[in-house]
This record gives sequence, structure tokens and C-alpha cells, in this order.
Amino acid sequence: MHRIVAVVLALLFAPVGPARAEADAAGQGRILFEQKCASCHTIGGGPRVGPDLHGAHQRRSEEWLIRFITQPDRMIAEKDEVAVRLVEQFNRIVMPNLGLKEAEAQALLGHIRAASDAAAAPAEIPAAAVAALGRPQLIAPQSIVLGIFFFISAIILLVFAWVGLSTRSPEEVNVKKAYGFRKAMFATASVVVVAALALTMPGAPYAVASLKPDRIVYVAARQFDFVFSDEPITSAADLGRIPTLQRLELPADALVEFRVTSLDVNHGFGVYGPERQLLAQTQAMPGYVNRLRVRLAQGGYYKVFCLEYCAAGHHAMQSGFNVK
Amino acid sequence: MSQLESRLIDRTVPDIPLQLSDGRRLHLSDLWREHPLLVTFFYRRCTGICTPFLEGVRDATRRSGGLGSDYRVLALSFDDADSAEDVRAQAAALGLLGSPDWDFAVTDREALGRITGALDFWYRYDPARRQIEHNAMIVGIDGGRVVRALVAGGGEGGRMRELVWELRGSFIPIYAVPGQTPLSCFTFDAATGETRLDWGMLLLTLPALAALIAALGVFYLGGRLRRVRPEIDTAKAWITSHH
Amino acid sequence: MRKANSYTLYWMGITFLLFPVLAILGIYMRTVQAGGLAGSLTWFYPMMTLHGVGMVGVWYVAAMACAADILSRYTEPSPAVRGLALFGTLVGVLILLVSAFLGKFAAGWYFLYPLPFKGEWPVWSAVAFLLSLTILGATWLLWSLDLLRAIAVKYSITHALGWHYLAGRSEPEIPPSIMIITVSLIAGVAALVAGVIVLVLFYLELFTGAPSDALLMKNFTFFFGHTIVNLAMYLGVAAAYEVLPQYAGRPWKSNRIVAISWNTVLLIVLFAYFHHLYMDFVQPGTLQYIGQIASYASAIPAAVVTIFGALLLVYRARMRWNLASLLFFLGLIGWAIGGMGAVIDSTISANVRLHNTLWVPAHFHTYMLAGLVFLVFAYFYHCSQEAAAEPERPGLQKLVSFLMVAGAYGFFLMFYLSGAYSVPRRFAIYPAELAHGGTFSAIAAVFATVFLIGFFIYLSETGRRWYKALQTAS
Repeated sequence: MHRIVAVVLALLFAPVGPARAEADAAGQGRILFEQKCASCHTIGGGPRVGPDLHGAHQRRSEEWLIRFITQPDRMIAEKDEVAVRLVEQFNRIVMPNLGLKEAEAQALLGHIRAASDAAAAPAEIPAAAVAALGRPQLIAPQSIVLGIFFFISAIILLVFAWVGLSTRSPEEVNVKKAYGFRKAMFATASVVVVAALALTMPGAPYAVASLKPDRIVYVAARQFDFVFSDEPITSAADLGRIPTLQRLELPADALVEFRVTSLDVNHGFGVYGPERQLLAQTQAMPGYVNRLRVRLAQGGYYKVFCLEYCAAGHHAMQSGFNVK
Repeated sequence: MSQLESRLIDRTVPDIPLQLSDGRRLHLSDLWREHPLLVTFFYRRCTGICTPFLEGVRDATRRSGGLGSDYRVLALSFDDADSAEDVRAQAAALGLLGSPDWDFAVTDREALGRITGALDFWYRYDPARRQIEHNAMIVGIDGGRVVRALVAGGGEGGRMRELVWELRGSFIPIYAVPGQTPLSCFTFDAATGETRLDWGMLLLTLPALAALIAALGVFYLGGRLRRVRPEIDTAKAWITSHH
Repeated sequence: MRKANSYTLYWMGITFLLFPVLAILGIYMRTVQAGGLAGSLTWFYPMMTLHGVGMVGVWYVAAMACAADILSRYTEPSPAVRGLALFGTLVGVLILLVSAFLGKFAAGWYFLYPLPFKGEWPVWSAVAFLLSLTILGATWLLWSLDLLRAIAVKYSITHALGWHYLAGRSEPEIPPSIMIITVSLIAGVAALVAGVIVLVLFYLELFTGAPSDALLMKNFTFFFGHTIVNLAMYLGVAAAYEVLPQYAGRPWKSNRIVAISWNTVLLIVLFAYFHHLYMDFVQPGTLQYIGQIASYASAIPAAVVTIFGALLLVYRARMRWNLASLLFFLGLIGWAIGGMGAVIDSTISANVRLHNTLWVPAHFHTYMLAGLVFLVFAYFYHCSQEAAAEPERPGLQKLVSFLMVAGAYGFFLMFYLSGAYSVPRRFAIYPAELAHGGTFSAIAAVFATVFLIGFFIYLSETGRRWYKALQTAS
């Protein structure tokens, strides 16, 4: 009884408890997969930085798979036909040698087998969604920004053109009058600046403590994927121990709070709406959690792209969620 | 377990009748009307985790601050055999008797069923041991809805602190990274809940200071050279005197 | 006719050599993004890194070379330090090329901590990159201090910063270029010291394993990166103040307003970099708002006063239009438009939609390429023409300006549109949802090529004069 008490108390109040040892091999395979593979591969979720591993055990021999998992660098160097083809197919991003031992590779294979059997077929959501994409559209905030920029640029160009052309008919200029004009312009510019500051600063996205979010989603970014969960994942050891959300669904019109951190380098968490326009973003930083609050009014499929360069797989680092 | 916790977020808590340890009768909503409420469950005859658990909550809330001013704690007995005197004895055992920040309460069987059902709090009477098997739970409630819940068995200690701060309406933006250098930009003070500038931010003023010192130094030396030998071309003088 | 300074000519040679190579890397990147050259994908990010750090470095030293040349008209920068700056820069560039081409180092030009240690490149290439930046940073710091020294032996600090204008006196007369260069060099020392601190913290981790705080490193990195780019721009503006009056036949003098605006810049330019951290919500909110205020406040005095001054200088003047005066005039337009794009991006509520989209390269390419580069090209042409005194061909010079302007602005427009369409920057390949980014890239590559053609004609015009000037250089 005292042991249970100690465990419960330790879990609730101790700083950070050690990860619970997961004894069974299948569990080990799942944890290994989440920690080492899931940043580039899915099982039935479609290809990402690397191929979808659904049914990989049926496509390739066990011997080949074990060798590729443990020594991908050597197989590529030896110009193994399949390995080279995969490198070509996946934008020449090579699979790194993760230092896995044969027993670990076996455990991984066991997980791939079990997960392939559990998942019916690779998800076709992205493919179908992409096929249905129409012309890109500009939503209001973005077109306002572009409009303001074009308008001011046009004024700058017109003024410069007018002054440039005036040199065709040279004449002495009344400097005193010009300085008076400058004073007026300086004052006007200052007023415009102060007004612009007053108008735009309240729109800053930083969390307002008085608002209570309807839903909290934890996001752990890593090279090269985003992991969603209901519990904070703050280290690689948490992966596999804390359940992750494979398919994230959010209620429409709810205030959602993403708590974004990173397990390795700086990443960006950019939320793109169904119009394929940026709605909100925050940085994912190692050691810190950024709190991003968004109210997603419109239903549909939202994409998340990495908006801070994070090495070779940066452009392939993406995720998404459904809003209903 | 964590799925249970996440399921609880934003759930509506039933407004059940309560009897406090001093005999007063009121409703749960009377307690959360003024301040957010931290609710936890226990029973008096428990020979297991209840008392150490409550002690843990007591110490953790003391450490995190804001108790009484920003939120209060309700310890609710889930044993319908417990009376107001029983929970009063529990409060006394914890040294919390008469504490303005804590309430100990009992309720009737029907209300107990409603609130434990709403919060998925699990317990079962074991006649052989004459004990109630149960899990441990802390629920933060604001305005009648669950802000965040902790269920024993699936989390780490920092989350208790996080729950308390969240209940107080603030946010802890920092998670510790093992082996971090002392040079961070700001630190989170668990006692006050405020972020304070740290040495790292002070270090950020160093470049500006260096530039200021460099500029003043260079112009001071240049000025001295100009005053000492005003008749010659000072620029050349510097170069010849330094090379 | 005025003899050209040989160091200025060497810097011109280096710029003319490196710029087209780095520009071609940029066109290469746009081509890959458009779906071409797919086989070379692994080179995209290393070349992106080289293009970024190379361009920032080249235009910083080119602007410094202009500043040193201007200063040599009034005082005497040390020839030894000028030689050292040249040597140190060449060594730094050499190591940089090794890290990019042999090591495929690809952490981006601002090498955000801890990415240099966590990429697919070998550790030695990260070390080489850091070493290269250390050499460059130390060299440039020394160079900046020597230029400040050269100013100090002629002017007191109160005169060099024009404080007597603030007090209402107009004697002694201080050329505005001296005032701007003094401001830029002092702030530049701060930026370079920030760079040194970043590098020290990187080495600390490399040798002792002590990790640094990611937020702190980000602050220092942008303190260094943003400020150095900003100041290079101001040095280019100083060149316009110095030379444009010669073509307008009117003086462009310091006065109280000019002194106020550049002293304001000195006060606030170091706070503007906070706008790079808007999307780091953990950064204390006060600093974020200071970032927006400082970004707005540094734009108004310097830009409004300078641009108004320039327009007044040219308005109805008996202007002698040639490649130099045209490019100065065009450079100020690019500065104004790019600056406007920057001010929009430094608005926190707009930054949410624009941060790390192609809007960012859009505005910095506008004020770097159509701003700083045009100003420096103008100054370089001016120097070589002064020494060579070759007959000028107005038609050809107008064609050069036209090609460069049309190419550059067409290429910027694609960036701005991509940014408005939320296409992220630094993507080697665009995902299906953002496939329109590839179309913009293809058009941009064509426009950039037009610019490059314009540049090569400019090079043939300036190169001839540069060669002649080299024969008679002092």
C-alpha cells in the first residue's frame, strides 16, 4: 500500500518522473517508432519526408528491411537498387543511420506488421484534397496588406517621377518655402505613425489571460514533423509514453490554444486555413512553450507548415487537422 | 489516464448541495462564485493515499502561492458514511481546521453520484478490506467548468504547479530543459508567478555598452591628439604615432 | 579628374566578382522552386545559406568600402587596417566557400541556434562556417574602429554627431555623410559585438558541451544580423548624401533636422531587431511593442528627412543625369519602397500573416538590391568615372538602368505576391497546396535574369573605367 502511495505522490508532485519501463516487445517497437521513425514516416498515413511504411513487410524481404533499418548509409553507398531508387523518389533526402541494433529493428518490424494490420489502407485525404484545390485566393487581411503596400509604393513612384521629370525645366527653388513644407510633412508623418501604432498594436496575438480557451492542444515540433497531444510532450522520452493524437479534430468556432514547443531546433508552427492562407503562427522553440490562440470559424481541413528553416526536410515538414 | 484528463477539460460541473465541516449548508456554486476552485476527493477512513495525498496538495498549493486570494480549495468526501464531524477531523489532522482557504465538505449519495459521474471519478467499495478503492484526482474549476484536471498515474509534478497557475489566470511559458545554462532571458518565479528578466537579458545590453565605450574612448584619444599637436595634420599624426 | 583610391578599387573588384556568382545562386534557387534542376535538390539549402551570408557580407563590405573612400576625402583611414580588412575578408570568404561547397553546410545565413549542430552536414563544416564568421566579424570590428579613429582625429564626438546643430549653431560645418557614417559605425560596433557573443556561446557548446538558451541566442543573432544589414543600408545612403549634390549642382548640407534624425537613429536602431522575434510569444510583451515602435520610429526620421532632402535637391535642378546620378536616384526609390514593405512587416498584427513568408525576402531584396546595391553601384561608377574620365554613352546608360530596374522590380513583385499568398520562404519544393509558389518562382527567375543582363552591361561600362582607374590609382 505504501508503495502505491509513494508512486501516486511521486507522479503528482515529483519534478519529472522517469519514464515508465515498457517491457513488452510490441510496446518497445511502438515507442521506438514514435521516437526514431515517426518524424519522417507514417504507417498508413501517406508518404511524408520518407515513404509510408504500411505493408512494408510485404513489399520487401525481412532481411532487406533489417539491414536498411540498421545500416541505411552503407546500403546507399553500396548502391543497393531499391535504396537508391527510394533516395531519388524522396527528393534525395537520405535516411540517416540511427544507430539501431538488430533486436531493435526486429521490434520495429513487429510494430510495422501489427500497425499495418490494424490500419486498413493508406489515408488518401491529402491526395483527394489536393486534387480538389482550385485557384488560390487572397483572404481579407492579406489583400489589405498588399493593397496598402501597392498604394504607398505608387505614391512614392509618382512623387519620384514628378521630381525626376522636373529637372527638364531647371529653376531656382525657394528653400525657405520647401523647409516649411518639410516641417508640415514631418508633422503629418509623425501623426500617421502614432495613429498607425495605436490602430495596429491592439491586434497583437499575444495571449490574453482573461480568456479561457475551449480546447488545449499540445504541439511538439521536431525534425521533420509536428506531434499533437493532449499532454505536454517536452522531451524525446515522452514520445511513446504520452499518447499522441493521430487525427486531430477541432470544434468550429471554439477558442483553441496550441501550446507549441520543439524537441530539437527552432521550427515555425503556421496554421493555413482552407483557403490555403496563413491564419496564425508562432515559433516552436526548444526549451520554451509558445501559446497560440486561434478561433477557427470555418469548417474544413487546415494545414500546418513549418515556417522556420530547420534543415533538409524543412519543406516537407507539415501536418493538418479537421475543423467541424 | 491522460485521455481521461483531456476528456474532462471544459466539462460542466453539477452544482451539488454541500455541508461544510462547520455545519453550514450551501451549494458548490457558492464556492466558485467568488474565486476559481480547486476540488479534490478523499474519505476519512482511508488508510491509504488520502491523507498523504491531501498533504501533498496542501504543500503544493502553499508553494505555488495565490491560495485564498486567487483561488480556494475544496476537499470533498466521496464516502456517504462520512459526516461533517468526520471531515472536520480530517481538516484538523492536516492542520487546516479553520483555514479560510480550505473547505472540507460532505454531500448526499445522489449528489455524489452526479459529481463523480460528471468528473469520471472512479471508486468502488471493497467489502473484504472494508476500504474504498479509488483513484486520486485534482480538478480546477472556474465558473462551473473544468479548466484542467490531474488524475494520478499519468503525469509529472510540474503539472500541478501549472494547474494552479492556470487557475489563477496566468500561464507558465517555460518548461525546463535539462542542463540549461544559467544565461536565460528570463525566469519564472513559482512563488510570485511572474516572469523576471534574467542575466541573459542583461547580457543583451553588453553590445550597446561596448559600442558606447569604444566610441567615447576613440573620440577621447583622438581629441587629445588634436589638442597636443594642433599644427600638424592630426590624421597622419595618429598613424605615424601608432605604426 | 580625381585619382581613385586603390583599396576602393580592390573592393570594387571583389564585389564585381562575388555579386554575379551569388546572384546566379539566387536564380538557381528560384529555378529549383519552380520545379527545374530536380537532380540538384541536395544543393538547394547549402546554396541558400551561401547566397544569404555571401550577399549580406559582400554588401556590408562594399558599403564599408564606400564609407572608407568618403572618409579619405576628409581624413585618413589607416592603410594598414584597410589592407588587413581586405585580407581578413578574403580569408573568411575562402573558409566560407569550403564549408558550403565541400561541407554542404546549410543552417541558413543567420544559423539559428542550435541548427548548426543538428543538420545533415558534418560537424567540421559547421565549425568552418563559425570560424569564417569569426574571422569576418573580428576583421570588420577592427575596420570599424579604425574608421571611427580616422573621424576622431579630425572631429570631436559632439561635432561628428552634429550636436552643435541641435544646440542651434551651424559652425563648424559637418558633411552629413560624416554624421551618418559616425552613427552607423558606432551602432555597427554594437552589432559586431553581439555577433561575437553569439559565436562565443556557440564555441562554448562546441568545446564544453554547455548548451545555450534558444531565446537568448535568437536575440543576439538578430541583434547582429538585423543591425548589420540596416547599417550597411545607411552607409549607402551616406554615399548618396556625399555624391548626389555634385550632379545636382546644389549643396546638400547638414542642418538641425538632419542632425536630429540621425541621432534618433543612433538611439533606437538597436531596438528595432525585436521585430524578428514577434512570433516568439515567450519574449516579454513589452519588448515586442518596443520593437514595433522602434521600427516605425527609425523609419520616419531617417527616411522621411533623407528622401525629402534628396527630392528637394533634385527638384528642378540643373541635373547632370548619368549612370551614377540615375542609380543614386533609383536607389533612394528602392530604399523608400523596400522600407515601406519593412514597416508593414514590422507591424505585429500584420507580421502574424507575413512572418517567414516570401514577403520578408520581398522587402529586403527591394531595399538591398534596388536600394543599397544601386547606391553602391552608383558610387562605384562615380569613383571610376572620376578617375578615368571616359566619354559617356547616355543611351546605353539608360538601357542599363532600365534593364536593372525592370528585372529587379519584376522579380520583387513575384516575392510580394507570393508573400501575400502565404508562400513560405526557404522552401526548396512547394507542397501541393502552395504550388502557385512555383509559378511565381519561374517568373521571378526570368526577371532576375533580365536584371543580371543589365548588370553585365553595367559591368562592361564600369569595368572599363575601373581598369583605367587602376592604372593611375593612388
